[in-house]
Parts: sequence; C-alpha cells; structure tokens
Amino acid sequence: MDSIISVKNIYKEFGTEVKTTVLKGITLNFQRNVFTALIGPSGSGKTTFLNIISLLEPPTSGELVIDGIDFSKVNVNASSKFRNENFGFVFQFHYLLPEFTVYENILMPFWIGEIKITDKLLKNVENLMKRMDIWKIKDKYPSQISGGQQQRTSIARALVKNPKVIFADEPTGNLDKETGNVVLDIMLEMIREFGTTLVMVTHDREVALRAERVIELVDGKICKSFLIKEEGLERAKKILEDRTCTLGE
Amino acid sequence: MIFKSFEFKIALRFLVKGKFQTIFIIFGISIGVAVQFFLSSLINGLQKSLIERTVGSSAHISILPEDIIPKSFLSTSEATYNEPPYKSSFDIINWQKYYDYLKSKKECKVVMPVVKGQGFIEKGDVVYSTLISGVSLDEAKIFYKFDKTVISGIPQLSGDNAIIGKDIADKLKLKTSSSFFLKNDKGKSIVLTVSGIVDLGSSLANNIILISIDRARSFFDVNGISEIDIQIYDVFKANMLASEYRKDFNRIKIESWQGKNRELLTALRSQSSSSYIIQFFVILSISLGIASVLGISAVQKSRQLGILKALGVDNRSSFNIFLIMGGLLGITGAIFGILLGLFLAFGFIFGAKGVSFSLDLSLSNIITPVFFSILSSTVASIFPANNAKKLSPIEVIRNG
Repeated sequence: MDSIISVKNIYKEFGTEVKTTVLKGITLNFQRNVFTALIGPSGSGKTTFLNIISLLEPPTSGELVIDGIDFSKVNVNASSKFRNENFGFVFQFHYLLPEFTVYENILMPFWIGEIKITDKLLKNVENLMKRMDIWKIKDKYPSQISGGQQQRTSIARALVKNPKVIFADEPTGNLDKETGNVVLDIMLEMIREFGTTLVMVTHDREVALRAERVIELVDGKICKSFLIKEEGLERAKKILEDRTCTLGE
Repeated sequence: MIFKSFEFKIALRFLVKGKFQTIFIIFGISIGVAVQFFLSSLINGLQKSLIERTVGSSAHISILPEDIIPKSFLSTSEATYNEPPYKSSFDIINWQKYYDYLKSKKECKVVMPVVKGQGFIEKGDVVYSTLISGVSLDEAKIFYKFDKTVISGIPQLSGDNAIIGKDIADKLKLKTSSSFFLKNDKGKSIVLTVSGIVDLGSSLANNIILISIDRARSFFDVNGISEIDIQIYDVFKANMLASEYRKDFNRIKIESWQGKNRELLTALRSQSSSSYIIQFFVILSISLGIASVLGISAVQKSRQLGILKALGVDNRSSFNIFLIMGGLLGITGAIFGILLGLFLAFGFIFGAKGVSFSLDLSLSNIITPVFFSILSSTVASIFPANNAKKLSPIEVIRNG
C-alpha cells in the first residue's frame, strides 16, 4: 500500500536542563486514504507524535517523509505552506477564530493560501456546509453557536480544501457522547467520500474501533499496531483491552 | 506586494473586534496628533508673524557704503589728527553695477536703491522728526507690499507726492491730499502732498516718509544712493546670501537681517526647540501606548495566532498582521487627530479674539504629525509583531 507519511526512528525530547524523552525511536508508515487511530494512555506521547507528523513541531531526531518530501530538516515557513496546502486539523477544542463568522472561518484556509475565491469554490463550500448542517449558521460567530456546531465548523474548515491528510486530536473529546457520535459520523462520512487520509488521536476505544488501523503508543514507543479488518472487530476489542504490548518492548 | 490581503483582513478584524481597546488607542493617538498639529501650527504661525513683522517691510539684506577706516597717521602724511578713528562714507556712487548684479539674482524678490536721511516735518506749529527714504515707486510697491499696507489714498511719488507712515499721519493729523513742509538738517525745505498712507506694522516702520529717489537726491544733496535694500524669497537664507555677495563685492558693507536680529533668532530657535521637545515626548508617549496596547493584544490574540499558524500562516505573515495593526492604528489616529487639531485650531482662531497672529495651517504642519504618527505606530508594533512571529502554534494547542 502507498504510504503518505513515513517516520523512521523519531525521538522527541523536552526540557533543557532536565531532559524528558517523550518519543523513543518511533518507526512507522501511514497509508494513504486510511483512517488510523492513535491510542494510548495519558503521557504516552500520542499527541506529541501527531504534532510532529503534522509539522506543528519538529522532532529532536529522526526521519520524517511526507508525500515524498523529506521534512526532517525543513524550515518553519516551508512547513507552514505545506500544512496549508496539504493538511486539515481538527482539535479537541474547536479552535475557531472568534473574530470571524462560521463562513469566514471555513474560508480562512483559502485566504491564507491566497487562493482565488471563485463562484464554483463558494458553491462547493456552501454544499459542504449544507452537508455538515452549518449553512444556516454561516453568519454567526463561534461564540453564538453550540459545541457540536463549533466542532462541525472546525471539521468543515479542515475538509474545505480537500487536504491529503486530516489530523484530529480527540475531536469529540470536548462533546457529550451523543453530539460526539453525530460529529464523528459526519466526519467519517466526509473523509470516506473525499478519500482523505485521517490520523486521529483518541483515548476512546469505541472511537478507535471505527478506524481501519489502530496504533497504540505506550511510554513513547509503539505498543500495538493492527488493522481491524484483518483482526475482526471482536478480536480487535480484545487486543485493545489487553495491556501487554505486542511491539516495541 | 509586501503584505498579503488576508493579513489586512485579519489585522482589521482584530482591531474591529477589539472595539474598546482600539477606540482607546485611536483616541490616544488622535490627541497626540492633534496636540502636535496644533502646537506646530501655533508656534509656526507665531514665528511667521514675528518674522513678518520684523522683516516684512524692511531689508533682508542691505548693501551699505564701506566703513572707512583711516590709515595710521604714522604711515601716511595725509592723515590728520582731526579725523575720527572710524567713519562711514555717506553714499554709494557706483551703485548701478551692484544693482544690475543683484537684479540678475533669482533669489532676490526686490532690489531697491534708497537715498536715506533724517528730516523734520512741519505742519502748523508741530515739528516732527522722521526718516525719509527716496525710492522708486515700482520697487517700493513690492518692498512695502502696498497691496496690503496702503490704508488710505493711491500711492504716488512723482512731483510733490509723498507716501507717509500711519504713525506720522496720526500724530500730525495728516490725510490724503494734505500738504506739509519737510526740512533737512541743513535747513532746506520742500512742500509735499500726501498721496497715500501706509501701515507697515511697527511704530518704527510707520515713522517713515517715502519720496521719489530723484527728489531725495536733490533734497539731501547726494550724487549716489545711501544703500540698496534687498528682499529675498527665503528670509532665512539672508546670512548665507550676504556672505556670498561679500565674496563678489568689495569696498561696500553687506548686512543681513539675521545679523542684526540675533536675539530674535535665538528666541525663535529656543521656541522651536522647546516645541520639538514637547512633540518628541508626545510621539514617545504615543509609541509607548501603541507598543503596550499591541503587546497586550499580541498576548490576547496568541490563541488565534496559534490557530492561524496551524492553518498555515507563516512567521512573516504573523509579523505583518501586527505591523499592519500598528499602521492602521496610526493612520486612523492621524486622520482623527488632524480633524481634532483643525477643530482646536478653528476654535482658537474664532475663540481667541485679539490674538495678533494667525495659525500656520500649512500642509507641512499636517503631513509631519501624520507621518510621525504612522511611523511611530508602525515602529511601536515591531516588538509585539516579533512576539507574534516567534509564537509557536504548538504552545497554544498544547495549552488549550
């Protein structure tokens, strides 16, 4: 299978005087158009790992290749441009810009990328927003809409440029279960329709079981990695419940 | 283009949404600009008025006869003990060459040969000492600005006509067409008729009688002229031009108004310096205000900046957003400041009656505070802009 992100022996250390190693030599490939769930206990390094592969922060050492480009030593501005053109982000908190309306927040990635706003593009945005059920609130500001609407807006913003990869960090973590499920359903539906690669950090095993591939990190190392289709849902559940690591020990 | 359109969109929105903060800082800048504008208009107006009064109707540069310093009696047999150690000759005989030379100079507005002397006016029992200047009407018209200074009559110098200063007219109750006797120190007397009365501003200047140059020559019995009075376009170049002319001429004395009015110039310079100091501190306080407000704004907006950076905004754009915010604050503050300044200025003009000078509402007095406001706002925004540039998106995302 074609891999879109390839990491080799990634290390990440924090601190200057007292150093803490959060990631301890991770080597992994992410397949294109596959929904990968990154799970693990708190402090396992899953968010740090997501931040590194989404070019939000650099690794201390190791090799990082995204879509054929080596990002191991690429400057910050080049990463910014690449992020804008190829990535979409959904975080636990909606991270919408409070000064801009729902509609403007969704158009923001185009503005930043200096992409000409055509009628066709606006029509596509409108269709996406209608599908996400946020068209009727397009002129409202983030503070004027519900948590579910905020997160749907955030997902629409991540999807609007049809990115190669969407990185999601606990996208339903701040929502109640019912709203979280609705948001997740819409997100997965759109991801599959757009054929987008999704890398999602979650601590929710139920959410992880909706992925195609599950990777568990424990103490900065890969503990488990499996494809749900290969293992079957029941066995996948058992693997996730089992606390012993099958890899990296 | 240096700035991207989305940077403007974001900067503008940050300012618009930060309503009160933005209004306060714009208000602050406006007051600063208004003070700067009003102060410079006031001081420049006052200075222009003072200079106009000092040199408006007098010579900016005077070409005078050479001071004759006698040779030592030890070295020459011609020197006598009776001769004073220092004396001035009375007239310039070969003045035409200086006149032609000066007339050819572009910087000279008017070059006026003058025959000067003291005399006494008699009208009835009243005798009044006065200064008499023999001039040509065409040059006097420009030199004494007859279009503005004539308060009565039509200035004429031909025949018996004379133009007199307001003070003489008032003291001797002279009106247009009135006749009076003019005597010189040798007792020679002529009859003159008032053709016009002029108000030249100061009482000293208004104590003057203008007659035709030929009449003055015969009245004072001189062959040449007493001096050549020059008015130039830029009065502050008088000293420099006087030095220049000194190189070209010898055997004459050249004086500039700046040389004769050192105290006034020192006072004006001190006034300008104090005005500049005040304006400097106004600019400094505006800059500090903007820097602190934008600094706070950069902290307040760090979450948004982190989000924008995650979405692909690079460091340069993050920097630009705050630079644009500073610039926009400066421009808006400057516009309101000038309006406020004009309001103050017109309030002063209409309100302060009896003030003998007018404000200098020239374009340069508008452009300077506007320029400094925009410049200082933009410079003041560099520090917060730099902080915005350095901000890592991950810090914001990690800290929620």
